[in-house]
Amino acid sequence: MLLQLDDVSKSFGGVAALTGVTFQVNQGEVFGVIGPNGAGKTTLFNLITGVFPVSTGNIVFDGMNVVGIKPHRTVEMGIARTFQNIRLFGNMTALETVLTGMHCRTGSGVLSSFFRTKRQRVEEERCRGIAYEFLKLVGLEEDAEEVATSLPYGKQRRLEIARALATHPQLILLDEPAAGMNDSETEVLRQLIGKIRDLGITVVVIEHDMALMMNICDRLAVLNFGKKIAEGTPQEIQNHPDVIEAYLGKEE
Amino acid sequence: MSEILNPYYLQIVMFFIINAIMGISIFFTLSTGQLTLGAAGFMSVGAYVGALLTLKAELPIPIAIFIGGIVAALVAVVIGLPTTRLKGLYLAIATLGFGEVVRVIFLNLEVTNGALGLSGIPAIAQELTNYVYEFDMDGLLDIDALTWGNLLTIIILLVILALVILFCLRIHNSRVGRAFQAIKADDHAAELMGINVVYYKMLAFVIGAFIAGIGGGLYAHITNFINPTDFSYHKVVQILLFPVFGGSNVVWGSVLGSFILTLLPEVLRFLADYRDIIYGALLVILMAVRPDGILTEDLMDKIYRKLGVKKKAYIPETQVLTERFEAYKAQSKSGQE
Repeated sequence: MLLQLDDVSKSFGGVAALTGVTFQVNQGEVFGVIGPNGAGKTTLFNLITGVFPVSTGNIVFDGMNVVGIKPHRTVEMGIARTFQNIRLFGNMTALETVLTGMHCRTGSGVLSSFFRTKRQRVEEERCRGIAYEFLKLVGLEEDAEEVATSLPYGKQRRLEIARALATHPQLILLDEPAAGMNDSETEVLRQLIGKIRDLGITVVVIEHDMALMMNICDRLAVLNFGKKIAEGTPQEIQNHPDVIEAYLGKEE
Repeated sequence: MSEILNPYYLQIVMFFIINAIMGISIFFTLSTGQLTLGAAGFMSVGAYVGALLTLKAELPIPIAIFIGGIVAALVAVVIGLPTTRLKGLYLAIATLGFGEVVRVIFLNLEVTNGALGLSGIPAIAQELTNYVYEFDMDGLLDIDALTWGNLLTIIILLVILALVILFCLRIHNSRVGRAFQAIKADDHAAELMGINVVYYKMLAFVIGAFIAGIGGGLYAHITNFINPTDFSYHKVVQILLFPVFGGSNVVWGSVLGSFILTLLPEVLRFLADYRDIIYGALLVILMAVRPDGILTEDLMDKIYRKLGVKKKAYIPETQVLTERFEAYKAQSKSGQE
């Protein structure tokens, strides 16, 4: 078990965004989180990555407690994420964007950069090689020198995934990676998620594309109004009466 | 020769270089997206500390200037702890307040001689002129000793400026520079990509203050005389204009901005009272036409390409991911058996 959420609640002022959410993600699986808009899915990601502190409950990642840890430290621990609204860095090329992701796995500082020490040059060169490998993985090797924000939408999404992978995570959180994508782009994404899993990286994915989710996920959790209403394999979820009710309403 | 090398022209060149250094100090902090208006404050710390060390402690000028820079950086650490957590205009106002506080402190301290300021600060040019006599360079190439002193001062200033520019360029193309760029573009996303935003903001703030402190020390040892009004609010705006005018996204912008804005008032001197009108109008026009300043990243890219200096970075063949695929495959296979 890689990630465990134990009775996690979060409220903003008087509004309860999440109440008593408990689930576990196993090493090497693709775990889906679905639910109607406003169900608290992105809040869940923000809690896991330390953006907000939990109100009550516990989040344990790889045996370490994540609660109260700063976001950049959670990345060092091995949690990477992408964003629902693409957040690439303006003015950077695709290659530089991925290099930025490798920040926490490298160590050269101000002085070694100024003096261009041998160690710094070796590190930079090796990083460029690895960053290029990540670009190849997501199919952007042709766009390495393009400005990130000038890329077409689908490529920007994949570049975000490459940047997140470059932090060398054990766990990657994908927040609606297929949003706004057409069918062929979604298919490329599906294959990419398979490749990420083949790297031994555990995936937690939020997505509204049900066909995609039922295809790629080993297990899913369903949130509604901040509560977990179901958890299980795609088969179990599809037949769960509470899930059907949440999405389609109750039969009269 | 002596006409071109008259002391008035040479002094303008010296001021241009110091202004460029000051502009870069703001540019450097700005490259993390932090707008600070404390440059004049840090400059005055560097100037007063440096001047007092040469005047009262009789330290050699280079050491005094260096210590001035260090003290400015230390002050920045103290000021930065609370203020680098502020954003945008709040940071600008807080650092502006800091500059005023420093000015008022220097105005009221006994050791800084209050409003009268410090005079008789050893001048770099004077020191160098003494060396000129010592090495018997007086009259060499038909240039008298005093002019030699000024010329050597300019050469030393140019070397310092070149080092500061080289520093910025090398940092820009490094791990630290990418962290700066990421923070400037989107600090929330940067933090979630594993960058310690508070640390890097502080780092840029302190290095900016160090550069400003060095600039202040140089200023004090070139003008021989400083008083608190040299570092007033007016000075802040003047320094801020260098990167804004020349282009605030590239280090060359500060250099170009300070070059134009140092020269312009001198060139327009014949207009007497109308000078400031022209100066102000030029600023308004530039901001309307090129809001990012004269030099932008795109323009610099084109210039670099024309000059043929920008080579595509070499990308080596690495096999990290392939190895990882294989390793995981082997691992999961052995787990199944």
